[in-house]
Amino acid sequence: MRLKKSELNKLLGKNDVAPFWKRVIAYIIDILIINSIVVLPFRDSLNEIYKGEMLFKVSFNDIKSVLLMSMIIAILSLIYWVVLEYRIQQTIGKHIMNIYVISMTKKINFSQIIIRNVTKISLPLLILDILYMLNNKSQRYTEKLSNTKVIEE
Amino acid sequence: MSKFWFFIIVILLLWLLSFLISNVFKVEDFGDKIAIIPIKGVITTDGFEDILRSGSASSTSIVKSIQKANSDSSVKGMILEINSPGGTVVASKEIANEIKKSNKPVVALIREVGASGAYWIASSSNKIIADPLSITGSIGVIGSYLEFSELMEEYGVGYERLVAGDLKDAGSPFRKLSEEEKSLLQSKLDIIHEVFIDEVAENRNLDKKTVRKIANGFFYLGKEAKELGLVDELGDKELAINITKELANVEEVNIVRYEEKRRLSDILSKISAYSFYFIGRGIGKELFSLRDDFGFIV
Repeated sequence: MRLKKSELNKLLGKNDVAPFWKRVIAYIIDILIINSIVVLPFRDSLNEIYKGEMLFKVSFNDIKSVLLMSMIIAILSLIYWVVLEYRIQQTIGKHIMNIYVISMTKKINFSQIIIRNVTKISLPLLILDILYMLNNKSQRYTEKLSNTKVIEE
Repeated sequence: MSKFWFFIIVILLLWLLSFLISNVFKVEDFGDKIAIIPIKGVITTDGFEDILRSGSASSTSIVKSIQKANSDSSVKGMILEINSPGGTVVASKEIANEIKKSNKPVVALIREVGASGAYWIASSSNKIIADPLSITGSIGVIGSYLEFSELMEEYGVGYERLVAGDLKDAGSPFRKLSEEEKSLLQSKLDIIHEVFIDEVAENRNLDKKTVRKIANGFFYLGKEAKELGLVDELGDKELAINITKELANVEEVNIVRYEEKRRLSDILSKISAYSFYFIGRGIGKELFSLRDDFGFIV
């Protein structure tokens, strides 16, 4: 009987790092899900504020509300990643792409999950985090800090 | 629990949480706004005590609403939705003065009634819109009251007059007014009437003589008031909104009502206060309260 490479790696205790493209697709799937369940309910309010206007034309009161809504959306999005990765080490996107998160030291803990996901609350931060992969192909910067990585099943 | 059900539960919980939180942000709270400030019922400084609903307009809370609308940069204009027969002099004047201080366009919309003190308030706005059949004008002052000295006599009830200062109980419902008292009270009414006429003439840019001629205290229907120059346009809320938008130079706006909201705790505390008040109130208190309510009404 011939074993698959991933099955052989599992038996040998080795893990294949998830390819970057799989991670990107998993992230896009998760973002689509978050948009539908978290961002969509706020859509009417956000549309009403902007109505195609430039940000400088939005009143100070509205800017405060936008900031508050953005914070709530960011926190709810973070909850999605943290709860799923902490309990089953996979988000829906990762599950579809057959990849999952592991701890490089011991059993994965809550603080590791928070650290590896914290940059996902803001796109610029996430881009900076991903840029670290130019040097280290297997991990984002926050993944290195949290001693976690994403591997293929 | 299988992964599938765990995914479903997380998604449902997040959606529910997000949906509940998003409902806190009402769509009409954003973007440019026109604030509608209702002025309903008799206008007094603090409103009448009423447990479940406010049966009168409190100048204190209306002034607060105007100030709030003025300090909110997203509010581009205000509409005073008037349905009031008037009220006390000071309360009406307080609101009128606050409107004059406003740096945003204010349009008064007279629906059923906008008479006397309510008209004083309306006159201080930039434009007055009234329904053609609404009751408006009534530029006058009233200080009339019931006097039941003869009724008391018939029932053998006496009035023991104890005053320091001869005119202290002028206007008491338990005795007839003397000629001196009558002319004194009348002179006060005349002073207020004169101020009222001055204010309307100045606010409406009308000749003082013209205003004095029509300020006989009688009301005018909206269409008559327009002919007399007491209102600018005949119409409804839609017209008022369009005129406010024009004056504020905005196209798309949300309409927001600015009025004091009554919390459940306020209602409950008022109910308990009422219970104690009625338990402790005696006949004497009731009789004296009649005297306390005396005042001039515009």
